[in-house]
Amino acid sequence: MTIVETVLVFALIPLAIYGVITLLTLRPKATRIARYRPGQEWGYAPVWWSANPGGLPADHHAETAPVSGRTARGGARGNW
Amino acid sequence: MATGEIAEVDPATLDVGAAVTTSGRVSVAKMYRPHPPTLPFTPVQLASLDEAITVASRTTGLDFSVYLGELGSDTRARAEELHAATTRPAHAVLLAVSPGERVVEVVTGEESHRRLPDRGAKLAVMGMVASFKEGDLAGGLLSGLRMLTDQAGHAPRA
Repeated sequence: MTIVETVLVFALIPLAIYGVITLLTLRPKATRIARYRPGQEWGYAPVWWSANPGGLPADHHAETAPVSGRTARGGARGNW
Repeated sequence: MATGEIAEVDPATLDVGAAVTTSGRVSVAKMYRPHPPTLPFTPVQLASLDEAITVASRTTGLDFSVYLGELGSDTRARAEELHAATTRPAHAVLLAVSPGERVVEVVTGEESHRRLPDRGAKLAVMGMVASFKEGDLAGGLLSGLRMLTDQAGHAPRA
């Protein structure tokens, strides 16, 4: 085995394998979940979650009287 | 071509992944493309949020809901509008979070304000803001819901 062959087999092939694995880790994942960072734009559609009705007692929504005007009586606000 | 007539398809004209089956129908294979998530939450975070909202509503007897999205220029007015749109506004506790404007609003109705004083709501908001500052939206909402649940206590026995 000449010196060129030795270098090819013992240095170039391992390096090529490392290179391929490195490239595999860099590819963007299609289903990646972007992390929210404070101050960045919120480009998602608005969502409004309420309690799962299956987990509530049967008489939870007993009264539903239609109301008009301002219903808010209190609360709090904050920003970051 | 009239209804019910059978058209002959030349297999040579079909695209890649399509084939004429023995019955004469054309079978087409389609590439599966995974959908990108619609919110920056993991399924585990979404499940624990759902559970936290349900547990909060069940233990307190109030209607907890979480709104996550744009609130416009007058965030308080928009949050109160949303609160009025709930099925039982007197018992509703709305947590409205707008990450774009970095604002969180808690709105309580007549009965929920009696059970949940503004001081308790403010405390929950401060806890949530601490998490939101770190970029942890799901964690902040979870701790806010738990604090509001503890503040409101158990539903009065009928």
